[in-house]
Amino acid sequence: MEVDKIGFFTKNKQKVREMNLLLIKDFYNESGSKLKYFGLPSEEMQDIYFWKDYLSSIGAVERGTRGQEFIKQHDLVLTSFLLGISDKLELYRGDMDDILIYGKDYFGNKIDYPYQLVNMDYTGGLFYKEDKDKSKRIDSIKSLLRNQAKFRQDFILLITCNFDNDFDAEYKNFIEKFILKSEDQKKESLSRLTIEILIKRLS
Amino acid sequence: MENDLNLELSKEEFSYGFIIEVLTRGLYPDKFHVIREYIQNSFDAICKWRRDPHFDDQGSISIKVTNNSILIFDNGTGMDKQKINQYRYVGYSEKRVGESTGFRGIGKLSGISVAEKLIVTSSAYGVKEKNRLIFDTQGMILEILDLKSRGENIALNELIRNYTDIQTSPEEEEKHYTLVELNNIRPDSRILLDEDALINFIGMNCPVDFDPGFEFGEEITNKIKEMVDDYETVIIKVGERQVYKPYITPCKRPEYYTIWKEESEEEEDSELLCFSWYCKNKEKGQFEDKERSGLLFRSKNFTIGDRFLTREKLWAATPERAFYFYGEVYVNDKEVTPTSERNNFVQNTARDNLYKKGKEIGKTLSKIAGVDSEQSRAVQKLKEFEETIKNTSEEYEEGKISKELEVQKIISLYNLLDDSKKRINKLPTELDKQKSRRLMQKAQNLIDTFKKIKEKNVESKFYDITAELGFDDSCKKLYDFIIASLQDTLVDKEEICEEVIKKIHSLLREQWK
Repeated sequence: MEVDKIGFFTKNKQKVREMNLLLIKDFYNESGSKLKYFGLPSEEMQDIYFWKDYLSSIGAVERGTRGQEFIKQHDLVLTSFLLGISDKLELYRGDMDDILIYGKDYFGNKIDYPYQLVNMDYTGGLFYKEDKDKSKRIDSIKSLLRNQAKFRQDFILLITCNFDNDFDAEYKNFIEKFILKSEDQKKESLSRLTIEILIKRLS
Repeated sequence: MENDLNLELSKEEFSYGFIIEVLTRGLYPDKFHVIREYIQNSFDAICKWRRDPHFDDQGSISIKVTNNSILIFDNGTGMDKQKINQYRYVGYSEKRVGESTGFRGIGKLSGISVAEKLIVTSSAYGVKEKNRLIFDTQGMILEILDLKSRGENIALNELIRNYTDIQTSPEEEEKHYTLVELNNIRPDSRILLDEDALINFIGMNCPVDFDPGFEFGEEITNKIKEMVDDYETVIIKVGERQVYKPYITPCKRPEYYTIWKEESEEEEDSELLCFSWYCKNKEKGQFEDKERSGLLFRSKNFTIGDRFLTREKLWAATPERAFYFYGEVYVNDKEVTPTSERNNFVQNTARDNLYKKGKEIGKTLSKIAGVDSEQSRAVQKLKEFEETIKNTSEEYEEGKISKELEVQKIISLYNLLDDSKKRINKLPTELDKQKSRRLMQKAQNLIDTFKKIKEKNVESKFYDITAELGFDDSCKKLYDFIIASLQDTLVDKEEICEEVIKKIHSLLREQWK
């Protein structure tokens, strides 16, 4: 990988990508085939740029900015052309949580489970609740795990999110529950579930 | 700057918004022509880049179909801010007739007719920015229709200003590209989202290389490069698949035909009007694939019209003979320009000259096809002749030919014999001719045999007693059957046969009375 060329990465992010790359390489060496990616690469596709040599296909979700959704989506495809990976790209237009819950994007494009690498690089937090007891994000991750589990294959799940001090307790609670959930998944032959949480303080 | 038309400065309005509706709804009845327009622009940008001093690769066009949009990307010269600004102007083009494939400045906006938004992002080499033009076509068309319903109109400049936006953002200096997105394809244009149909259209109409599976592709390409000015191709990919020009099989080795603008003894003194290559069907006769057989006009390596156009313009008679060939006619005269919709050439003296002189191609191919057709028919007839002789011989040997059919067989064999005599010289090989002679001899032998039998039958004609005894129809049929059987059984014992029949007659007279 030509790390010098990726000056747009922040140092921290780059460190995380490098760590993740080791994980991806291990998975690639074990399975002997390239990984099918699904995630939120953003229009700059920085993670894809870093990992593209190990990816067989890319399912990229982009919601875009409200009222101008098409611009970021257009830019994401432009990046894929410039990186020479447009033929591997499957663009899903819409909100990631909705897409995972309904299994398709706003234009009816269905998610093609299973994936070997799922990268949830959220710009927001994990714990936003629409209702008192309901979190769409958690529901969507549950939906993802449920659908992945049907295929009984290993996969890597990377989650990156913003975190606020106010949510410390809830975060710990979530992690505990989530780890338990992942143990359940393991029982269902999901032999490896890796969770990377990048905690970034909101300034 | 003269070219930098500024909408704000326009004081007089010479065009109105309705022109957009006319251009976009009326110009492209075939939706795929919209895609061809953008491929043409990309192709021109790539050809231009190939002549740029910074040129580093051949360039390519990539098309991505998502479930609601089509994106066309090329790494040609790209456009700077000024050119992106000019992109909005209907009919504005810096391309010169004869030099580029597109030149009217209309095709670039053709996406308006099929998509809700037209988004063009481009970056020119050496410029540290990219520019994006957003055309809200849906909003624009809705406003036009609304105004139309109220009997009002709007100045074209104002309309475009209201529904377009240009955004600029940083880009790497060495990047050069253009990406056109036809965003949210309208329901009546969804056919464009069918990748297979798109690949088929591009392969037939755009400047791509021959399919590597076509054994004569390389030979033909080299010949075209040698003959046709500025012949270029480009790699076009739709998703993962590279598009190639399709071909049909089985083809014979290609042949070539050249027509010059002026008659001259020295080729160097004359300009090439058009160059044609064609392959005949290896299996004789017309190609089964009627969609791909025949000839196509090409101009700047884009297809003009369909195969019907060449049949109509190059064949004075027997246009169906075009189906004996698979090929193309490259128009090299720069004064012969395609119409906007690329379904024909613009009517002018140069076109008239092309169609007039081009008839030489039709005439030559018709002649070849005619000979081929006669040969093919002669071979077919030979096969039928062989089959008939074989069957007749077998039927005769097995005694299956009734007396009633003998005359018919003789007539039929005579006809075949006559027909074969007429066609023998049209057979393509000496082997076929020898075969035909052998069959004719066999036919003659069979005719002789039948004749002899007939003569014997005539000689042994006996007295018909049925009238004398007043037989009804059923009795007469039975009598005829018995007598015929006896004659068949005793065909070589004529005297015995006659004696037996006489005895039968005698007994019948006694018993019947």
